[in-house]
Amino acid sequence: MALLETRDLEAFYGDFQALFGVTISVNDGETIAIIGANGAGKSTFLKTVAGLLASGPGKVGFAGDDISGLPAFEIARRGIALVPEGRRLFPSLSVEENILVGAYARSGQWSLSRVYELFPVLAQRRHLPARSLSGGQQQMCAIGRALMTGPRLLMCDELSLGLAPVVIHDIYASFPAIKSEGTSVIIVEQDIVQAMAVADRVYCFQEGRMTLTGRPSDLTRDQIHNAYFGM
Amino acid sequence: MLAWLDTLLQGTLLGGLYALYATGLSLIFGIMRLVNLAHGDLIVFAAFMILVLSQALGIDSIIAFAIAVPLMFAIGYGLQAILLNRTLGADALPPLLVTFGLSIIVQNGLLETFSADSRRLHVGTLDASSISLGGFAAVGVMPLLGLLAAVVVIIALNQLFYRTGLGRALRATSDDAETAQLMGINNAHIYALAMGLAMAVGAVAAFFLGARANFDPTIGPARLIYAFEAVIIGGLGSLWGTLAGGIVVGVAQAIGARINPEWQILAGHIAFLAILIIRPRGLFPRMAD
Amino acid sequence: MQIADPAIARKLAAGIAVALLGVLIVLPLFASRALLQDLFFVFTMLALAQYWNLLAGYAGLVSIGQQAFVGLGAYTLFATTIAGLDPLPAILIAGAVAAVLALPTGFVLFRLRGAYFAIGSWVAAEIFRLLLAQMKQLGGGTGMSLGPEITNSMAGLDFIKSAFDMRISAARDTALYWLALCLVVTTLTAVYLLLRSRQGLALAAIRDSEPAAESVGVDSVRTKLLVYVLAAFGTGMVGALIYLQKARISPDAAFSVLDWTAYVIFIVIIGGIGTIEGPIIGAIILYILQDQLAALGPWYLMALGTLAVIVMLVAPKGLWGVLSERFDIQLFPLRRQFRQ
Repeated sequence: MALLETRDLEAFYGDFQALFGVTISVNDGETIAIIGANGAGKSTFLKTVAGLLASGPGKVGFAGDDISGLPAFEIARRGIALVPEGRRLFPSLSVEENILVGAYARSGQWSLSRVYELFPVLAQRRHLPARSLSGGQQQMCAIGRALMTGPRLLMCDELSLGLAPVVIHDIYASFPAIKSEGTSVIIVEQDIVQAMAVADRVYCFQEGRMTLTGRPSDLTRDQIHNAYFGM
Repeated sequence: MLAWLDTLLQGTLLGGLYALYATGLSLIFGIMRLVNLAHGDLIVFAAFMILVLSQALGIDSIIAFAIAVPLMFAIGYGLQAILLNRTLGADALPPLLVTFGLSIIVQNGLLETFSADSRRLHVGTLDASSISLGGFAAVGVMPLLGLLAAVVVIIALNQLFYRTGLGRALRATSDDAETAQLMGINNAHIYALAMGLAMAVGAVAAFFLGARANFDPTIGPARLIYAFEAVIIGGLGSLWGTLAGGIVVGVAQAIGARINPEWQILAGHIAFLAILIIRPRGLFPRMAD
Repeated sequence: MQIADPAIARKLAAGIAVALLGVLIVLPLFASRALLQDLFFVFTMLALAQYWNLLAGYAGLVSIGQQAFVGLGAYTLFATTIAGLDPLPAILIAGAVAAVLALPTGFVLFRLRGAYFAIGSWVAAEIFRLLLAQMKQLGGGTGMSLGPEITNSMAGLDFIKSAFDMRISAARDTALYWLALCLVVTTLTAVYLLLRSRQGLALAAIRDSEPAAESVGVDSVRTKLLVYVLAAFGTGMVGALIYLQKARISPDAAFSVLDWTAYVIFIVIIGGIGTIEGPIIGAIILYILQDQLAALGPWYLMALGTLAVIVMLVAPKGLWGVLSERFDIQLFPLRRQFRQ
């Protein structure tokens, strides 16, 4: 049985429909990449699973339970952690406080010291206000914060947005340690190369619909191109 | 000269009481950007609660006060959870108008129950006793304790906010309520806790209000105004700033009263106006609007 | 249910309004004194509500200090009439004085936002109240009365007295009633025209999003100040008229939060905020409730407060909001449309 299953998931912003019947599954320990152009609905999908957006008539199942329609804090407490687009660190909290607040309601295998081991640069700046970090450091802090919730499923929304390639590489270098805990991961990425390098399976979205799925090694460039742009 | 020092002293002690009024208001605004127009009336409500507990159970006011604090916490929690959480959102009108309606309800409820008679809380012999300072001035024990209580409350709240997990959660929710949910933080519960805290502090304010002067159901709005002036003068986002603001209002009122007793309240308003014109962000602002 | 043809419905409504106005104008000739006084209350409260609504429902400025301008207008009336001015022009002067004082007041208060602006407006009213209570020439804290030599000497009274063969007191009631009717009709017209104008469009933009409005060139501070001063002008005149009728003033009464803000807010909330029609319904409802229940004292106020809270939570657009949405009507059409 899959860890996360969505069936015919829909999402609306007011009258505007952003997702159309999305059916996806994530198995225990898997890393899934969701790729697609801007506005394809990738972030919307993560927000809907996380409970920040209403899920419409579709269903979301997690670890055997139906979590459709549950409030976001309830979903977070069951072990789904979202690293939101734009990081969204708490500006009036320090780096360390940001990381610690992740463990407020639920914790697991990750502790503050382990997060510092993973991202040493954060330890050096632990008492500084979070907003004083660079983009890449903020991303690391946001990931550390999410890890502190001890998630079974970690969802990362556009990790590489606005970051230099070297920094992106450093961030993705932390993934093996995360995966070794058995955590399942969904990444939403515009950087296709990076996404394919780290994922077990790939889904491609286009205008709110899932247009392609498969293992990175099985998909050709043409297939991806068509699924991405729909041309 | 000594007379003016005495005025300064009395004003500072009064300011401690105003800071107690203001701390709850400041707390609520900091965490959920809500201003409770019934704040003053709820403090008066708490004063009546202490009175009733003390009379009905035949206990001293101090013990009644100790019971009132957790009771007011529960009332604040319930008020937020059942009523005020529904008003929070992008629109600024509902919380304003609902709390305004609440203010009318509380005032008139108290009027109906207790009539407009003035009451007083009696704290054994403490409410009349005073300490003499080197022979030149006498300081009332209750006012002095009121100022100390304000300091203790602010220290305790700051400890809560900066040294505990709950405090982190409160500050995180204040920063970004949506992302706080991703940490498993239940916003509705956090807001209710904050209101509970504010009402508990309100009970402390109520005790020192009632022990120091007469109170009746109609004095709530004036307390709200003094609290509000203290918060604005002190600057948004800082509890110590609120204490400073309270003292400024208290001292201004004391100076005004010394010149002419009819000018006491007006003097406080003038000080508020002056700060608003010269330093609109207050003396020690910390928050971005 | 859809109105079959909105244009016909509007013409019908306009026709009814004109007929109603006609009835209201000739009413003093055959109505009782009590009815005239009741309608005086409804008209003046409605006018106050329209100004409050203009501020809160359209400009997004929730003021709980409009009583400042009621009091200022009222005291200006007393001060000028005692000095010898006829009450009729004194009402206009009262409005002007309130408007002039509103300028610096608004300027300072606009440094505050949202709820803090609300309380600040209350503090401003308190300052005016306390200052006026210091003026012994105007009665100080206990207040003063206007003698009949002033109230019975208003321009036009003699004409009414002889034209309709009334006693002087009835002529006074008639004149005050007509003034109130005139004031409320002028208010409704002025508010409607303002909202249809470019300024009205700017107001709607500011209410929806001030930064967005500024980004398209709306000077929000100037627009808000304009509305604030306008509201003060109208409120001052109404205050002057109300206290001309009462002929007795005191700082606590003239600057009363309950009478000039709480009741006004109830009218607007229950009737429907952000519409011109809402307060009309609200004023009528308040009048009925006041008439039937005021004797209950605090219970009455608790009931009003509870009603306002419930309406705000359950039907925030008020009674008119519910009706207008259900039947899709607007008596004062304000929707802007493209012309093809």
